[in-house]
Amino acid sequence: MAWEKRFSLPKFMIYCILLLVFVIMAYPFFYVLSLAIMPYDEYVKQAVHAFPSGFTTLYFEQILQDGRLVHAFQISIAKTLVGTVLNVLITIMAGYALSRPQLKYGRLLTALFIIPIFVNGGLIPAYLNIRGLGLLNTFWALILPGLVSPFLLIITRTFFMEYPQELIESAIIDGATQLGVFLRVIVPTSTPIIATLAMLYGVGHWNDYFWPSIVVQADLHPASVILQNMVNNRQVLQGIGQGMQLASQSYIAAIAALLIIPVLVIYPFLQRYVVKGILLGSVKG
Amino acid sequence: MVDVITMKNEPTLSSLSNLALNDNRKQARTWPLSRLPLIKELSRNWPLYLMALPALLAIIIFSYVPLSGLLVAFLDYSAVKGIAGSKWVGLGNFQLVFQNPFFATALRNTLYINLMKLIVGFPAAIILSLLLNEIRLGWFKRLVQTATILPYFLSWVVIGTMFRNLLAPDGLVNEILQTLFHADPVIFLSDPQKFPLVIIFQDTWKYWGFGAVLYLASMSGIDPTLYEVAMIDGANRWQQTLYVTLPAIRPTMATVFILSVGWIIQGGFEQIYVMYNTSVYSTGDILETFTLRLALSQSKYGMATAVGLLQGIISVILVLSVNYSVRRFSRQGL
Repeated sequence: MAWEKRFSLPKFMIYCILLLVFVIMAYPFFYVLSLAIMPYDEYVKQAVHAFPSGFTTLYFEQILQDGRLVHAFQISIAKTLVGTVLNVLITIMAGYALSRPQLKYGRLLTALFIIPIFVNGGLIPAYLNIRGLGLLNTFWALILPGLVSPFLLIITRTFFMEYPQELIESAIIDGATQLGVFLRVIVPTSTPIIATLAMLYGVGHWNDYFWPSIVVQADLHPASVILQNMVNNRQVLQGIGQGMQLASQSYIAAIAALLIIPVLVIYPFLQRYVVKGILLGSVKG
Repeated sequence: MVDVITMKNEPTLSSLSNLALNDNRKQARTWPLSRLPLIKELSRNWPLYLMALPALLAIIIFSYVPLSGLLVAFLDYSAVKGIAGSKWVGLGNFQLVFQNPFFATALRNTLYINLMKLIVGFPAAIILSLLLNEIRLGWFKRLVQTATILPYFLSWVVIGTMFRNLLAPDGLVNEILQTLFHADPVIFLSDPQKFPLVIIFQDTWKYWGFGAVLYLASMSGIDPTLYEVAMIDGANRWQQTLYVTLPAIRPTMATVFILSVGWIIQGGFEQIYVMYNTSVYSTGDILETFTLRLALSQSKYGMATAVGLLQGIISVILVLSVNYSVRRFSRQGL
């Protein structure tokens, strides 16, 4: 179309504004990463640390040598992997079941899942419940309470309601059982919803810090909790890298970078599914 | 339960004679339970119910069972005695909450911060999506979209670390101000006047792109012929935006707005918890951080739960009444 090729001032201004938006959004990422790789002597030399100068992996090496931090990252990874696999499995099974029109109590059960979005006990009853179940200070206290997100369950149910029903019907005519349909037809053809669930649940586990900080003790704290403790209380930093010259900002930035990088690496692969999935749930929700 | 059902279906003498003829009755006598719709449904669709069972158990154990913990709001709760052993105080906890001087401050801060987040964030997402919608350069659009949505996937701890590094007295923003203007360091995070502004900016920064994606998607569903017709009528890009795009995304705007209204009285806890410190309590302490202190450092579980209960009730009322008025005045809503 003609108006696209012509230079126009409004168009130019839109590009400029969006470029500015891009810088505002992306710069904090860039800043944290550049702090994490800037050598100490370069750091002290400069008055403004807007761009990285020099390169060191010293801070990352320091983190890898700190047994407590390595352990915390292991907890983060275990929590994310175990939690996400269980989350996705349980949500997709329930979402599929609730989407079946022949299920007489499907609507009733769905309502049962929606109510907790609006009505919930809050922090203290949730904590007392975990204590009552004897789960305090166990790994499962990090996994079980968030086993199913009502919001994501509704997204999944909507996905399966829009799923081509002929596929299911023809499999049943071929003699497949309901379980067989789920395993051989549904699961292999539902990549978009599985990717969306994996991304959103996975990020949730990876980023979670407040709940772990109250239900488990230090030996089960994921990396996000350690980072928060360090930021709040710089004393934790004492004793790290003795005899070496370190900038505490850079050390903290390196831990933050380790929490950012996995999200940064995984997101582009799942992007198109995730955007589609979010839409499905939020527009039709 | 079994007994009752069998008794109900026990054939009377008069019907006994019909038994052989009445297939239905015969079935009822042999399988009395199968007459109950619940059992019938379960036996027919048991694989589906079995698939939903783990999720159902999880939601019951971790969402419904804790609801009984809301009773704590009406008790002089002590962890040692438990819910059964604690003394019933009726609305006593609510009375104590209203008398607490920090409650009024926390309530005011909660309303101010969350309302400002809505006032800034809601239009910001719409404007960003309208701007992105004008871009035909594919890679540039994707680049900006990815950069704006990424913060949505970050933990508040990480975002807090980023902003602390940037805004600290020896952080980048102050370094630039000092080098360029020889200004005194600006204290962003410990100054009660600036703290809420930082929080509002940070929240918009995190959720900006996510909101925009929702609107962009509903824009992609607009019938292109609408734009063609508008162009034939002589509408320029701005008029097309005003009369085609905006009306088309109104349902999404209504949904987002209605759901956001519930967050005026609650929410935003993790962000404040990561960012705040004692010097900004006067403007930064919100209801959640206030109740957390009540519970953790003063063991006043009853008062803390009472505040949470109030917040939940108010937010449901807010969402329902806004939904009602939006529906009434614009025929849109949930």
